[in-house]
Amino acid sequence: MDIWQVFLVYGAFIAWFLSENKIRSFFWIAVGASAFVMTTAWNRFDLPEAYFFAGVVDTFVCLLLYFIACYKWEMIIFKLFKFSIIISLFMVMLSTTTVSSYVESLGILSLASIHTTYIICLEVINWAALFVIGGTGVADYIGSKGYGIGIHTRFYLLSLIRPLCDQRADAKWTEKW
Amino acid sequence: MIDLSSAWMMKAIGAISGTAMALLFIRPKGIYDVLVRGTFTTMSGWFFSDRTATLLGFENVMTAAVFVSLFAWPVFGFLLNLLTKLDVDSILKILTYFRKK
Repeated sequence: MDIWQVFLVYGAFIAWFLSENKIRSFFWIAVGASAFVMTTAWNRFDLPEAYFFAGVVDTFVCLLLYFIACYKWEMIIFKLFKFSIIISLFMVMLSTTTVSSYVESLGILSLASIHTTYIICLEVINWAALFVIGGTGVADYIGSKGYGIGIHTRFYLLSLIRPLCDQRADAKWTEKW
Repeated sequence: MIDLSSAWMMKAIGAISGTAMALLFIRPKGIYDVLVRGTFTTMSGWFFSDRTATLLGFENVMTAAVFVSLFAWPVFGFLLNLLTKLDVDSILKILTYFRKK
């Protein structure tokens, strides 16, 4: 584990604690962490088609989110994972022989630097997902205490994301857990 | 260990996962839409992956099957939408559009 992954683990724990120990937050953090571990292990063991594997794992996470997500903040995580699928597909396209030989012939970008950019993009998406989980958890807590109503409040910014804690309109799974 | 030399398995994995990715980005209208379009896109990923891999220079057929399935999803959606909207009345309306009134 490098230092950024240690930070990500700390961030995951902080997001979980901020979200009032909700089982849904823990579940999505665990799903995201297992997807991260699977794709990273696949890449580190030099198994074939690492970018494609990352895209497939994100697709499974997205399908899981679509069918059992109940709240609006979970659908934001769905959109973030969809964005990471697009990035993985873009990297699949870049790693084909024709495109990669063209990119290297340009002499501006190397494939290693593109891979680093890809990793940074995925890291940013993971942090965004953690911010959504933690931030909506705090907003939900404050709203449930009766604070954060109106604009003359310290919690104005959190009250803006409070509607994300409502149920989504087309929830397939309506039971709260 | 995954054997990249077995082309049929790679084609199947690529076509099915390409269809799954596509249905996340362009939502289907219902379960019948998923079944019909999914069958068509998986089949096109299976059959056209070889030719696409040769034409576009992909290393293996799996990647080609993914991209064929991804692009086949909106194409079949458009065609099926057109077919469901076209009936005798609408065909007559198109044919008689420039008729003098």
